[in-house]
Amino acid sequence: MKLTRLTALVLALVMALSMLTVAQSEEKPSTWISDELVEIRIMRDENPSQPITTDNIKLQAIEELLNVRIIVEAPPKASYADKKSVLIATDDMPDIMFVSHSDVQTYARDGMFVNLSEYKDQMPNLFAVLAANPSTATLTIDGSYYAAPGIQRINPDARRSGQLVNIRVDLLEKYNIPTPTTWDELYEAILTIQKNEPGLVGMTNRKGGSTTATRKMMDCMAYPLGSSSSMYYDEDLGGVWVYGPAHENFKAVLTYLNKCYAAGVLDPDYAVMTKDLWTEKFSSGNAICTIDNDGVVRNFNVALQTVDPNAEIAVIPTLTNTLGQTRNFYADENKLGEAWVISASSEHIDVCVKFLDWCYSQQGADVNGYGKEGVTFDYVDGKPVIKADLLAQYAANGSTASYDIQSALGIGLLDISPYFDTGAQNQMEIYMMGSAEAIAEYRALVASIYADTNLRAPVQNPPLTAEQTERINELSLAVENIIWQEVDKYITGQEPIENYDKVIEAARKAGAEEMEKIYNEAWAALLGK
Amino acid sequence: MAIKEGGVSRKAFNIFNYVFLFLLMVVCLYPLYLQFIISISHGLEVMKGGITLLPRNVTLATYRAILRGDLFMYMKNSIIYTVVGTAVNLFMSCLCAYPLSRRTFSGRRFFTAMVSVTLFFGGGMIPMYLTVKQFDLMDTMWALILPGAISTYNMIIIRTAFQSIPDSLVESAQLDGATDLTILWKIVIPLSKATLATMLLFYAVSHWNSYFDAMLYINKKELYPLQIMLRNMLIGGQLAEETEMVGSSAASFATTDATLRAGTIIVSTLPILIVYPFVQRHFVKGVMVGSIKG
Amino acid sequence: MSNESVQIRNRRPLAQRFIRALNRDKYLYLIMLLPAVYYILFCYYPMYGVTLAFKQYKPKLGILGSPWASQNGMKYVLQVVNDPYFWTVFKNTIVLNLTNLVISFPAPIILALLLNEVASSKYKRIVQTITYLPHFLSTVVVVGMMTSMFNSTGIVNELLGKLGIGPIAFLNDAQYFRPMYIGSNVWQGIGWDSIIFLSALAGLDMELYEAARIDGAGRWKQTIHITLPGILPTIIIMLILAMGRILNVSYQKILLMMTGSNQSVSDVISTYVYRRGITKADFSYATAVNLFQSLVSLVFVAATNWISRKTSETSLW
Repeated sequence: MKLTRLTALVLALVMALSMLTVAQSEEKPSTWISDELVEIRIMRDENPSQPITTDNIKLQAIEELLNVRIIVEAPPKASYADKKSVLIATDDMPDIMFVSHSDVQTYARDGMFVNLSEYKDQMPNLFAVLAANPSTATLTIDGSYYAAPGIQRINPDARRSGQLVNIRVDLLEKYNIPTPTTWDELYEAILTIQKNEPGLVGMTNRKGGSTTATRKMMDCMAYPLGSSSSMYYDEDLGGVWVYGPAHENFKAVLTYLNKCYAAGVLDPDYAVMTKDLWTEKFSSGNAICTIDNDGVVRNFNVALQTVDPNAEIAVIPTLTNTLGQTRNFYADENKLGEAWVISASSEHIDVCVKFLDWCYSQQGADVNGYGKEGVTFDYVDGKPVIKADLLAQYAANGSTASYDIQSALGIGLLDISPYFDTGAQNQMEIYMMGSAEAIAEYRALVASIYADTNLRAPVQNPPLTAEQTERINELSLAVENIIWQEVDKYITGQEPIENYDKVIEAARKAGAEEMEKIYNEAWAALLGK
Repeated sequence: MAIKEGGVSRKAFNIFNYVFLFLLMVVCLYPLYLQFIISISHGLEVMKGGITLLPRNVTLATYRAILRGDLFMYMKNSIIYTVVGTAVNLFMSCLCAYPLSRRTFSGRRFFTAMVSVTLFFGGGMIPMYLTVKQFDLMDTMWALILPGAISTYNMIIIRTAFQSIPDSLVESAQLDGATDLTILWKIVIPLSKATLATMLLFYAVSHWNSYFDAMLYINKKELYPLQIMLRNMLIGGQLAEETEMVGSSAASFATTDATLRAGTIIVSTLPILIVYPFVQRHFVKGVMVGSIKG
Repeated sequence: MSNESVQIRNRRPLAQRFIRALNRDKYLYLIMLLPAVYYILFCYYPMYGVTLAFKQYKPKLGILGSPWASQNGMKYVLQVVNDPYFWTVFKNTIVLNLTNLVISFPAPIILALLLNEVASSKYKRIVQTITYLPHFLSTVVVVGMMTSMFNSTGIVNELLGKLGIGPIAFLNDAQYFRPMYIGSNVWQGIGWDSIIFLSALAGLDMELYEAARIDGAGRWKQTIHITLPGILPTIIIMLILAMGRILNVSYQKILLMMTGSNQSVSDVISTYVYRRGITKADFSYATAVNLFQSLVSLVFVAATNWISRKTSETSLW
């Protein structure tokens, strides 16, 4: 025992000495952000599609470049909400943690997270990116940034998506129906198809992750139809914050949906749909139209075309609603709801600050998005491109290829990439399309969505003070309880639309009015800055 | 023989009973069977729906995808936690139940009250986390075993079983000079085998199915139990709305959310199915076997 | 002071009695030692967390260091009690659980009794093994299957349609929520829950049956007079324990089944707390609700226990 301990001691001394000499003889690389090798614990949730690896080539690259060793902890997404709230509440956070903007709102004022604005001069990259994305101003808490938000570095292959109108374009063609340009034309189109092919479900939707199917449908449809399912900024009403379901215009949404329901255009099961049932209806060719994430819907084509090779479900341009508005949102390219915070109790705050800032540099975005230069990607015309042999290797995995490659390399949106770049995923997907024809078709589609000028940029909620936040929390649940028990009655026609005025009145009294006031004040304060 | 006697009505009852139980079996077996055939069907066919009796386009892609990960490492962890945890549970529960079952025990009222309070009141997630951290159990197996060493519910069931043993048996043993430890080990436990087998099952299944404690107290991936990963496949995918899988038209779709979910259920239920008959024979007995025991 | 002397006089015999009892039951106390340590360390020690219900929680200050909540610490308790919607979900929870209890509790007992009547030991074991399988299906899958069977074009409505009925909105109509919820609970739990009663049956004394048969009692009479009384202690204990969970409903299944139309009956305490929690991690509010739930279930258990002790010999304490 004694002997081994002694040998270990001698060995350790020898090693320490040799390391000293090495350190002396070699110049410290200029990219290092720490003189000694520092271990930083970073935690984020693990999406089941892309398991997080804890010893990948990206982490190696970071260690070489920065002299920082990242210890990744990745609890599963399914339980992450509980995990992070317990870690914050017990002040036992890892050095850097992935949380949501609402966590920042709840805890920043308690001093749980490092105030990044105090380190502004040490974080030039982050604050440059924030300045370039003005909507991030909405993320401040009492004027300061406590978190680094998820910002996308747009690459040439990136695609824009949204909750768009997806329809069986082959059926439109088959029955000589011109592409609808208004919601009323859409209604007529579906009705015509249903007349020719009885049994097909018209418009249908799915359940949300934690909301009812009706709520999810409204989240997707209420805005293009002239209102919204919650608090939103309405340009058409003159640029004010409005609580959608407690506004006159919501009746237009309900009236339209009621018309669809009565005619059988809206799925009679719309209120109880699940994601599986929704998938089933479209994949088997039994449904015509859905307003949902166009990327997800496009997946149905693969199954659909095994039933009918000519079938195709595709996006059509934004429709004009019954109020005469032609509008919809595209999905924000940034992930402003996502927040990377540094624990105020961390022992390595300085290194964490530098690391987080590095993530927002071009080099940081390249490493986090593509891996290690020369090993996993090369620069072609100054742009990072994943090596072709890697793409070929993972293409064999089929539908999961783009996630598998990102999982293995530790890169992309679902890993540790605050300033994310979807390039690796896009390049993988394009590689797998194979033919030049398919790629051209895909690019045309992507371009058409960018070209649809009626798709508006989503507007972020203004930052609230502590009192405002508490008041909104108190009011919103009460208002929601009033509204969402009523909405289905008006869609199915159990109640005539005139009676909805009473719901509006009750909701406004219960707090919708006060909430609007708070948001408009906060908005004015933000603009005033 | 038990069923020997009885006339027409008895026969009618027996027929009804057999048929009813058969139907119940069908109703209970079908869902799992459905998950099985979904798990071996091609993802595209599952997307289209309509799989009810037979798999379509049989493929093992789902199982290959499940096995591609560190499934066996997680499974090994789960088995260790379940075996050690159940052993600790049974040991502690018997220790606790025996004194509480003795009517002459002077501390009975006090300890019964002490135990019963915990049925209703607990500290909650945050103090529990701090306690486990304070005892330095983080990132160890014991964080998953010690905080739940006794389930008061199960312990009370064991106590009830112990109580049903005639006092005369215990008293005569005491007259023979046996200590309480001997009585517990030599008389009470052997006579409560059926209940203890049931509790073994209850404890083991709850260890096997538990994920919450591991999620809270374990940060190292190599220590995760199987359920953490399985639950993520089942539920995490549904939560991940904003990062939904966007494949490309060339993708094969041999496995989808739905097939992975089904395969996951099969994989996690299989070990329980294999072990079950060994436990089951202790509480499901033929009438004849039962009568010999009495 | 005289008061003190009274105390001392009273204390001495008590202490003596205690020491004598300790000596007599020393092995029992020894056996109880380890469990007692467990209960103190992992159940009683963290119980200070209950004070969270009365605190304005600041993570940096810890639970005990956090300041008391406003309104003399009653802020969150009052928030619970004064919220009219809370009483709606409270009522929903009680109604749902009591109805569930009335149906889900006897079902496994009946299954155990039916299994007991099966002569073939092999058949019995097969039935038992298979009926307990649904317990291992995840809620997501159970509700998913329910949705595909009971939607307007699902197999159930198709069959009803052939009989000229429907289609019935089983999944959306508020009046069908409880039957659907409870029905699926029975289906999922009947086999698993019957295990405990089967094991009680296995412990019954066969000589009693022998004697009854000699007296000419038929199977039915034997069931009524021997089997049921034999497993009654188990039934009562299970019932009392079930009463302790009268306010507990897992939010997962309900959230999956909830629609706007059935929310008026399907919204329960746990789903309400869950929805509040989405917007903010409100530990104090959640603890206040828990405390309330604990007190209510304590009342239910105590009442059931009292009735049981008056009418039979079995009781929890």
